This record gives sequence, structure tokens and C-alpha cells, in this order.
Amino acid sequence: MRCQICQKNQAVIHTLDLVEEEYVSRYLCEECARGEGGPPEDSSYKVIKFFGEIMKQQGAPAPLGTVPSSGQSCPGCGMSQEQFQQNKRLGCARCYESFHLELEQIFLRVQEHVVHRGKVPARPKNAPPSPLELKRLREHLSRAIEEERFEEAALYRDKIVELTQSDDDAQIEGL
Amino acid sequence: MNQHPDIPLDEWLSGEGPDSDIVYCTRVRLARNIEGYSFSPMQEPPEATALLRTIQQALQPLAKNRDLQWIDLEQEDSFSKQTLVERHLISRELQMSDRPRAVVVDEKGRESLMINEEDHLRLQFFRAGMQLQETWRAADRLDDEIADLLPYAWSSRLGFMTSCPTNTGTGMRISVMLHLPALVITKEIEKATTAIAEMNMTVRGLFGEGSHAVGDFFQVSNQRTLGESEDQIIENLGRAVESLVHWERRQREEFRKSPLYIEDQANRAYGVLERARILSSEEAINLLSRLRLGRLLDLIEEPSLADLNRIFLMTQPGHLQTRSGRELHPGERDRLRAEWVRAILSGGAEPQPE
Ligand SMILES: [Zn+2]
Ligand SMILES: [Zn+2]
Repeated sequence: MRCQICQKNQAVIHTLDLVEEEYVSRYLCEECARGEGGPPEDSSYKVIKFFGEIMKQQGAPAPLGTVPSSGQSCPGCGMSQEQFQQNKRLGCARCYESFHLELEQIFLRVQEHVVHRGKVPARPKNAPPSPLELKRLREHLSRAIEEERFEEAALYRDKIVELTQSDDDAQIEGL
Repeated sequence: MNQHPDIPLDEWLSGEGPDSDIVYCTRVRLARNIEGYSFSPMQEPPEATALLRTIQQALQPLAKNRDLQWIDLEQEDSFSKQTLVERHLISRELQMSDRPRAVVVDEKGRESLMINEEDHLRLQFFRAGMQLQETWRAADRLDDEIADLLPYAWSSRLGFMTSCPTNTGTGMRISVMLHLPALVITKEIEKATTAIAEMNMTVRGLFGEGSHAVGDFFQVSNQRTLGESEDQIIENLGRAVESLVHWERRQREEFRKSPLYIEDQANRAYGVLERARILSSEEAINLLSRLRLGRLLDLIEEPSLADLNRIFLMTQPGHLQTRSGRELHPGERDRLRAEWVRAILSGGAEPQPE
């Protein structure tokens, strides 16, 4: 998805702006979101987590600060909340996002941990970047921007650019 | 005539390897999924077929340095699938599934790659005896090679994303198969199992259903896959297994001091195995277990450990049926099993199916 201001860069941030008592939702690139010297001081201006594909499919943006999880089906595989609760099995990698609240409880119960500390696998050359890894980086990026840690944000941005550019290269090679 | 029936004996079942008086084998299983596909249980047949082709294509380079065989399980008959289960190369779930699915096996029967089981890929590595590090390193190496060929579903926060949340993270289950007859005879096994469970490890019987263990064989595995590195998991499992091995050895030493009971058990077992005309699988496993203990304590001179292992494998239903070339009723199986045992113990000719 392209940034709604410059129409050029990839959108990495979802903003909600309170305009005349209504939220206006915009998908922006990091630069445009930062504008000159960061987000406006206006307290009504919020940066929320970016859910790229998920948001697009579900249409309306999620309410401020919440995560589109409970009560919905996984956009990746169509598994419903009920199915997941019944089987305690995931239908696809995106189910990990779709049912993350419930999963966290499961992890706490059966694993007693919620964060991976093991192996980091390589990725094949020319493979598209992992959508979940990109999503994670974008979350870090927007949080860093939100909290005005711009140096850190730049690192995340570079990493995202690195990943998405090799993606473009791969696509060009594939043509 | 000392002509042993020609039974394919997988290298890891040789009964050799470190601590092989107690540890049968070590197994590492890694659960992996490929990005962009639904997990196997959620797939419609066309997606499963597409994934199978993608994997088959992508893994071609692996065959360069290895002798690998791709077995399309939809093309295999039920005996050959059962035999693969008994050689531990595929799981019961993969055997029974109606999805398009396959298995890649190496020529020594020590490694297999199940495709479209509960996860897209399940790497399984076996080594004889207690070899946690070696088995893990071998699995890790193949895993690295596959990661260069196929994009794994992985996130830095949760690690490898698997179909079941009990595998999320490392996707690794490392297991050690143990023979603990002395702990069973002295009823110390319950205490031992409780102690192991407190170390966050799972103990279950290797044969038999549910909690009913048959033949004093147990499998100890890690319970957790998230929040600990592979090395930590291996270290903890190693500690748990070492304590079991130590415990079992101590009990065996006690028996060595007053051997009459074990000597009696082993000789009775030998007598029945040598003479029986009908042998159920459960009875055979129980007798073989006691005979093995007597043999390891030098309380009985025959048979060799290699023969004992051969009998173990050969008396399983799938191997019996594959050798007979047809499905056998349970009654026929029990009769044929007894024949096989007698043949191996006497070094005689292989039983001929009618
Ligand atoms: Zn922009
Ligand atoms: Zn899903």
C-alpha cells in the first residue's frame, strides 16, 4: 500500500486524526507521518499499529489502540474464533495475529513463556520478506516514532527498506 | 545352518551407541511450515498438492550430497505404510491422513522428512543410544539447508510458527527412548516419572496405549518449545535422562548382588520365546524386555543383543505382514510372530507364508 500523502513510499503507519469529532484514518509512509520534526503536538493525533493487509480486508480501521482480534475470522485462512477455541489449532501463520490474545493465554499455560529464544533461520535468496517480520518491524517503527525515538526509528526504517527492496528486486527478476 | 532371515535393520536400531544398555535411541523432531500456505490440516486438496510439488521441486538440491528417497504416500499400499510407522519413519497421523502427503527417507533409515503431516515439514533424526548433541546438530544442519531453499513461517517474537501452539517457538521435540526394567520391577518408576515431570519433561510408555506402558520401555521428551533455546532444552533433557540412567543402573547393580529373581525371569522368558506357538505383540515385548535385562547382567548367555533387536522389529504387525505379502488376522499374526521368534533364536530358516 502506498502512502496517502506522497503516493510514492510504502505506507508503514496508520494514523487516526480527530477532525471535527470524527476520526480520519490515513496510511502514511514514515517520512510523511513524521512531517517536519515529527508528529504534531496535538494530542488528538495518534499513531496506531499498522495492520496492512488485515486492515485492508476488514475495511474499517480498528478502534484506537485496540487490535482486531476477538470475534473475527482469520483473514489468512478463514478460521473462525469458535473453530480456534474448539481445536486450539492454528490454520495458518496469520492465525498467530488473528488469535493472539487467546494464544498468549495458551502460551502462558502450556509453555510458561511467550517469547522465542531459539534458532533464527536463514531465508532463501530471492524469497519475499516475511510478512509477519515486516509487520513486527513496522510496529516497532511506529512505536519508536510515537515515542519520538527517531534514531531507533531510522534503524527500523532501514531494515524495512532493505527487506522490501530485495522483494522488489526479486519480483523484477521474476518477470 | 546359521542363516539369518534378511531383515532390514535400521542403523539406529542396531542396539549400539553410548549408554546403549539403557538408552535405545535419541530422536530429534523439528516442526516447520512454509510461508504463504495454510497449515496442512486446514488445506483443501489442491493447495496440499501444490505445496507438495513446491517442496519436492525446492528440495532437489538436498539429494546432491545425500541418498534420499521421495515416497509419495498416496501411492503406497497399507503394509508398506505400516512398516514405515514401525520403523518410526512416519507417524500414525501421516499414515492415516487422507491429504496428499509424502515422506523423504535417507538410505540408512536414520532420517526422515514428513511432508504435510500436522505441519508442512517434520524433520526427524534418529541416532543409536544417547546422542543428544549429535542428533540435534545433524537435524540443525539439514534444517539450515532447507531454510536456504524454502521460506519458513517464522517470526522473531514467536519463532517457528506451527499448527499446534504446543510446538511454537523452536518447533523441536527431542526424545530419548529408554529401557528401564529394573525401575519397573522395583516400582521405583513412579517416583522417577514424577521427578522427571517436575523438570518439565514428559515421560510416556513407548509401547501400549495411554498410560499403560508395555515392556518397560519409556520415552522422555521436552515439554516446552517456547522461551528456551534449543541448547537449553537439550541440556535440561540431558540432565533428566542422566538421572534416570543413573537410577536404573543403581537398581541393576542391586540385582547383580542378588541375581536369582532376574536370572529366573530371563530364563523363563527365553523358555517361552523359544517354545511358544502363539505370541501376542504385548507378550513378546514383555518377554523380550526381561530377557534383555538378564542378558545385559550376564545372567544368561544367549541370545545376542542384535538378535533381540531384530526380534523386536520383526514381531511388529507391519513387518510381519510385509514379509508375508498380505494382510494377516490377529490370530495368524500371533502364530507367525512365534514362528519368527523361534527361527531367529535357533538361527533357522525364515518362516514361509502359506
Ligand atoms: Zn509519504
Ligand atoms: Zn489463519
